[in-house]
Amino acid sequence: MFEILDYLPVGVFVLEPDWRVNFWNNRLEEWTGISRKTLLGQPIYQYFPHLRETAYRARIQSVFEQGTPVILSSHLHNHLLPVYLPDNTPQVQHTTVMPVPAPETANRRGLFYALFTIEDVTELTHRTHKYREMRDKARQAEQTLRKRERQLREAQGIAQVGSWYINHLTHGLAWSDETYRIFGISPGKKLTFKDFVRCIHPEDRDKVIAAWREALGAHTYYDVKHRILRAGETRWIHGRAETSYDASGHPVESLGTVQDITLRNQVEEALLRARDEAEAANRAKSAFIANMSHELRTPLNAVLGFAQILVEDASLNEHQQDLLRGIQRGGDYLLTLINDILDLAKIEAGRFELFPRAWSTESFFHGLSEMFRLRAAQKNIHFSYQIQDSLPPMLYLDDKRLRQIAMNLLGNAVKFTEQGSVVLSASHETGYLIMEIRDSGVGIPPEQLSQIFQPFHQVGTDYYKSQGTGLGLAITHKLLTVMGGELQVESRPGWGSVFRARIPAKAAKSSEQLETGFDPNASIRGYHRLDGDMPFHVLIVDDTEDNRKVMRGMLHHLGFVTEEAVDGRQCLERVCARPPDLVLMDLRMPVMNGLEATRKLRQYPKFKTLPIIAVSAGAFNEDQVQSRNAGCDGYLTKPIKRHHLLAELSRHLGLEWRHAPEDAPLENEKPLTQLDPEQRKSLLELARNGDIGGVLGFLEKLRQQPDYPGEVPELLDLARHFHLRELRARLGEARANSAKNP
Amino acid sequence: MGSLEIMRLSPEQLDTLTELINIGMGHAAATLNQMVGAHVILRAPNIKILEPEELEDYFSHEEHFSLVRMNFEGAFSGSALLVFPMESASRVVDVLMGQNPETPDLDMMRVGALTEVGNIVLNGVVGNLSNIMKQPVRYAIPSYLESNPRTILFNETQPEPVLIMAHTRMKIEEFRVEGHVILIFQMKILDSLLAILDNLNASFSPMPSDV
Repeated sequence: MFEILDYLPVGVFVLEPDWRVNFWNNRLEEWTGISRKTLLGQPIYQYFPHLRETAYRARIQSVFEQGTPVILSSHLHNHLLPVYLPDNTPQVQHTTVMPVPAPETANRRGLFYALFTIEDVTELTHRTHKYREMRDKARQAEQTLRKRERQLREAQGIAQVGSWYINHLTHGLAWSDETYRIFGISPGKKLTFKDFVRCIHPEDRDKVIAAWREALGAHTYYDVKHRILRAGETRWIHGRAETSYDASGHPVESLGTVQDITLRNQVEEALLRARDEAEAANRAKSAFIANMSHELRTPLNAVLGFAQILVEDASLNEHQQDLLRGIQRGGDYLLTLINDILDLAKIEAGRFELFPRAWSTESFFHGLSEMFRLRAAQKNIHFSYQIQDSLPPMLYLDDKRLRQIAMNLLGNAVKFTEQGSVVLSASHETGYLIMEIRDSGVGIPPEQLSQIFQPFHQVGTDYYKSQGTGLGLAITHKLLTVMGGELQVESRPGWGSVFRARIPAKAAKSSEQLETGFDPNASIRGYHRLDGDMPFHVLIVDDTEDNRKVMRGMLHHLGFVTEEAVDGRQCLERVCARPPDLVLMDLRMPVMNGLEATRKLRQYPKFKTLPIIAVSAGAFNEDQVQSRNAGCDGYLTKPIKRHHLLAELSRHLGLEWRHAPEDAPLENEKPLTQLDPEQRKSLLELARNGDIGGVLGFLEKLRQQPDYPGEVPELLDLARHFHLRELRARLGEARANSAKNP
Repeated sequence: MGSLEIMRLSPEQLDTLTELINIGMGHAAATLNQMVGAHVILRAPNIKILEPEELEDYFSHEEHFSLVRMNFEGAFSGSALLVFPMESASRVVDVLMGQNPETPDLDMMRVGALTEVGNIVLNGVVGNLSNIMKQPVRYAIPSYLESNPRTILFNETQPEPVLIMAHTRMKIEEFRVEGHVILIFQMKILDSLLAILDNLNASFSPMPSDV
């Protein structure tokens, strides 16, 4: 009856009202793998039991009994019969069940056969899913776009950047909301380029139009800052635009931005003004420092200079000598203080200069440790230094500043350590010099660690606040910073401190010799001229009488002949009248300063090689550079140190120094005799009274003796550094020892 | 129009007809319930007899609706429509499937499902009337279209068509949607239907009704 249905492209089967299969077409045999022969006459639910379950049973039954059609859609059922595709996914089916009147037999009257038609909608369903995905993506993209547009609008508002677009074919101009706001025009108003031009400040119009034409003509960016008038108020805007061109080079459209920079301009102007003011203030500070330096050093020059001259005067009695040394010590201390303050001020003013050079690490650290070994021994603490293998023989670095740092840190370590040891170690790793100073001293409480680099700050009780300007660590810290290094501190009160300086320093190959800093000139009493017997003739040029006197005194003492000039002009006259062997040239003088005088002198061929040594009280290295440029051969700073002067003289004049015949033997060859109890008692008495002058005088006198006691140099050193407490301890301790071992 | 008087049903007739349609809807709701496992309620609280022209009051010209139509014929011929506003139709399917409504699109899958829903609802309503009238009916396959009910009526070829319009409320879980079930008959079929309803009333009534 139904055989023709074998030819349909759909699955077809027919159920009789008692659920028996009446027909099962080819397509279904193919799909389910169940043959018609097997199924015919069998109740369908024997093979597909789910058809008797609630979701299907009543509806199929209604087909049999009432002849109502039934639709079983793919979306609500997926499939009616399980059919698996080659990829093992179930086929998606849309099923229509139509009633067919049953043949008229006695028990089937009014009943229906159910004709099931199953369409394979798998492919259609997949396509629908794909379409849905695509549609969802498109919708998302659209939403994202909308969101971005909104964000852009908001961003423009926040950034106060507006955008605009111009079509060069239609001359239509489109502005964003923010652009309208910037120009003070109500949004939405139709605009042309002319409207924009009308907004430009009259004085800027030509400039803007020219820039616009130039950008279009040269195919470059348009980028102009100009003024506009917004409701009569002048505002600054920054306009930028990029244009696209057609094949023949005609502009098609431009997209631009506009930003209100009025406020930014105002801020920038204020910043520039502030910077200028700050720079002016800084210059004023530097000038003040330079002047202060000059004003402070000039009188100090007199004080220290005369003292140095007088010390050599054999006619003074011991008491006078003592007083003189007091003056010297006070002056030295004052000079140190001035130098420290100047250093700090220079660093803070950014006027600090570094002079890196190659130097020998071994002699540097050896010299340093020798100096501090002695000081440590005076306090009866152990001092050691370790050079790690990693430390190269030569480093390239400003060694003078490094010495300043090291001396400060070591000085502190020794100063604040009462027992135990101070250890200096140096190493080099990945381009950095590591210098570590470890002590077993008083240590620093954690809450004070952050303050120790502040100027004039000392840790601890007044008991320890003995010597020093209180600037040492501040300078050290700033120096290290300027040198690109850093300073780390670890400390535990009662256990000691570790200061670790880390400074960028390259290993150097040069064999340049390091200045040892030792003064072998102390005993020089005169000179021997290599090329004859006539004394050297030195011209002293300085406007200050005291300064001339100091130099005159030092030079006469050594056997030089001097002449003097009070300014540059007089200097020229003197030199021409009687050419000297060497000129000591002050730089700051009235009428004609030292630099100008030097330049003038150098214009004479016969004075091209005349040694001229610049003398300056200036605080900055500029003086040194300027004097060198003007033609000076050397440079001395006031107050003049005798050994510096001697060094300059020997460098420029052919001479050999003559030493005093009564030169004392070196300290380490001292016989190890001791102070007798009387001497000790007197010294202790003086020390207890705080009479440093008395102590020094007493010790100096002892030292005049051919075999003075071995302790004398150490005690002298303590006294010179005002270490009264240690001095007393030393004397008391020594007495206790001698009591044990009479 | 001559049929107007006849269409003024007595309150009893209207009540009985409403009751009959709601019984059919109850069957349909039960079927949907079983099928999707969701709680579905279908009610037609308000029934009107209309002439085709009166549809204007309910469906504006421009608007399109989602329609499932099932024709039937026999002693009892006509057409049945399930009408949902377009934006509701898709949601009906999503809610029946227990999905969050994502889009108002009616793609091939949703259309298939919606046709099945219409099939169930219209089977219920028409099947119940057919049972009551004890008249066998031949049904055509339900079909889906997006159109305006007025257009359908305009093309109606039956003489003297008359409409039973049942304002339908469908509730699936928390979701509510309103639509219409429209039955289109020939006037004479409505007449015989009303006669049967009167008989039914008489047989159920404890007291003989006055004529």
